[in-house]
Amino acid sequence: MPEKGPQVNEHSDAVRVDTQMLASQAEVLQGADAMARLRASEERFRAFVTASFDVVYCMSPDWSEMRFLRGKDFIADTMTPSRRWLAKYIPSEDQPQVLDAVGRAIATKSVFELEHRVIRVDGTLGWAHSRAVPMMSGDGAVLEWFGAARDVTEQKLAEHELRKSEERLRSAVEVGRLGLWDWNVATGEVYWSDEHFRLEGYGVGEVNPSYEAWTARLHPEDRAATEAALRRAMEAGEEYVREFRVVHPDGSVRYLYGRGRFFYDAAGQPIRMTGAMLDVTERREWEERQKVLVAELQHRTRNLLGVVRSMADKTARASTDLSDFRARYRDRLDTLSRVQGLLSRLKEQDRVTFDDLIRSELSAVAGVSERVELAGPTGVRLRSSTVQTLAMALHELATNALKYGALGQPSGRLAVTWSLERHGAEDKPWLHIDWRESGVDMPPSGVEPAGTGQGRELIEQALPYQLSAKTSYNLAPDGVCCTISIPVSLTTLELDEHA
Amino acid sequence: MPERSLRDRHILVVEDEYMLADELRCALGDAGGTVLGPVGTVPDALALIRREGRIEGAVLDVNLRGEMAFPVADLLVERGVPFVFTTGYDESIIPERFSHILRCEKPIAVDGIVGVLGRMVVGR
Repeated sequence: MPEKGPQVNEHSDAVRVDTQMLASQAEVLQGADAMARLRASEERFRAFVTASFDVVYCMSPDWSEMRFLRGKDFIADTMTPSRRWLAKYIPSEDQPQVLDAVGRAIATKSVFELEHRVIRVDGTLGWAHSRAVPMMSGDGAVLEWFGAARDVTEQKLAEHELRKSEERLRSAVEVGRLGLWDWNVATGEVYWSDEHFRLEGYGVGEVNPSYEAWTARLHPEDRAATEAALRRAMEAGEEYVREFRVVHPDGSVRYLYGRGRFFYDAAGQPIRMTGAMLDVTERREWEERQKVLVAELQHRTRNLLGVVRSMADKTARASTDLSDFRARYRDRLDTLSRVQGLLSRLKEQDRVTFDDLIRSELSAVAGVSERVELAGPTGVRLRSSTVQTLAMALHELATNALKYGALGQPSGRLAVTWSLERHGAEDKPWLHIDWRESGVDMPPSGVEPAGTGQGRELIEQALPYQLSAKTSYNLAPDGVCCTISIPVSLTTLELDEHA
Repeated sequence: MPERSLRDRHILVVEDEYMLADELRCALGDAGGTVLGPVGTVPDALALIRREGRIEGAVLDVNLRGEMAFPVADLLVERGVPFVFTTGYDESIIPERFSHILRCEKPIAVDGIVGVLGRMVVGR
């Protein structure tokens, strides 16, 4: 090659000559042989460029004019010099970026290189990776730019898809609070995702992830079994699936659910394990609560059946005949049903209030009566365990009042008043209930009205026994007087005050 | 006349539901037993056991006002008093150490309990 011919100032291996170079060289070289060699060289060059690139192009020194472009099937050809190349090939929003890179290449007389979008033959957008080198004369002036480009559309779309899929995965992992690990079993090297650190109660990057750093956080009671399960999975080639507890530095205990998979070399040796874990503490707590509730429900149901049976026995003993039994028994069962109804309508933390209970019992027995006066604070909440026995007692009082007392006689009056007071050494709140009948024509003193036995027993025996209540039951000259005081739990009262 | 299988035997009844406690009291009394209690809370039951010199058998409800009655069971075991659990729960709620204790599921068959206790206290 002659020393003073046009030179490519760098990357001279990539593009050594073009047709014009060949023409100018032809002037220097003498003879038909030389010309023949040149033509052969040109043929090889064309073949090489055509095979290697999707696009070859040539630009004027200041890039204002495109001298030619061959674009195969990727982008349209430009066979005669054109100043409209930018609009023809580059989508308008990308033009500033392309011009910017062109400007830099011109200013430094160095390679233009850019990956940019292009308008394809069919009018759709594709991606090109384009490089152009300045061809310079001996005095360093740029004669023209020779460029070649590859269609990288598929590659870009694949990259884009990959990025999107990675983003989707990352976002799923983040939103799902999954802690990931990747354990090189052979070297002991471990990768943890940020969430993995947090799940184990570590600050992100606080420790070097390792098998030991994992076991250090395992709950002492779970450690042996959890490690054994891991070894079993490793040996059996099975998925590792396990729930275990970890203890954080602040002492809090969390339940984690982990799933992992081992990979083995050709000799069957475990070389790698990857997996993910999730905090399932809330689910565990919820399950525990459910278990307690189900057990409690069983307990109550079975006790209730016991109560129903013993109620049947007692009613049978106190009844004169079968129809008497039927009336009384149905009455009492109805009371129990009403109580269950009140209780079952409650949501968690809700309580039956005393005013609800007394109104429900009195209206069930006597309907609305102007002979009844109720006075006391609303919203006094009763423990669920209290409601049933108290309701039964109120029911017996109301039934007796209807049959023999204030609700059954024209001149009778019933006043039920209640109040909430704190007393005793522990300053516990008590609910005082005062049931006072008046204007009742009572049997001669010493003779108890018929049928009051069971009500009395409930008030004098069952309430003190079951609810630690203090009660009194008196047959005053003009009607029954009964007082019931029951301790109310502090939380019940507090809930009340905030309600 | 029921069989008086518990004649002169001192039987403790621990049950928080008045009606059930009362039913047991009557049935055990009918069988000739002397009923201790009934009591319906863990502290009352513990106090009664410590106070009584003579207890030959017991019926113990597993749940007393929401509290598990296992401390009472432990004290009975320590004293060598034979007893039966009455429970509305699954078996799983009762600790392993009481696996040899007979359980009567609620609603309990009162006559059955009286019979079981009768056999337990024979010869004591």
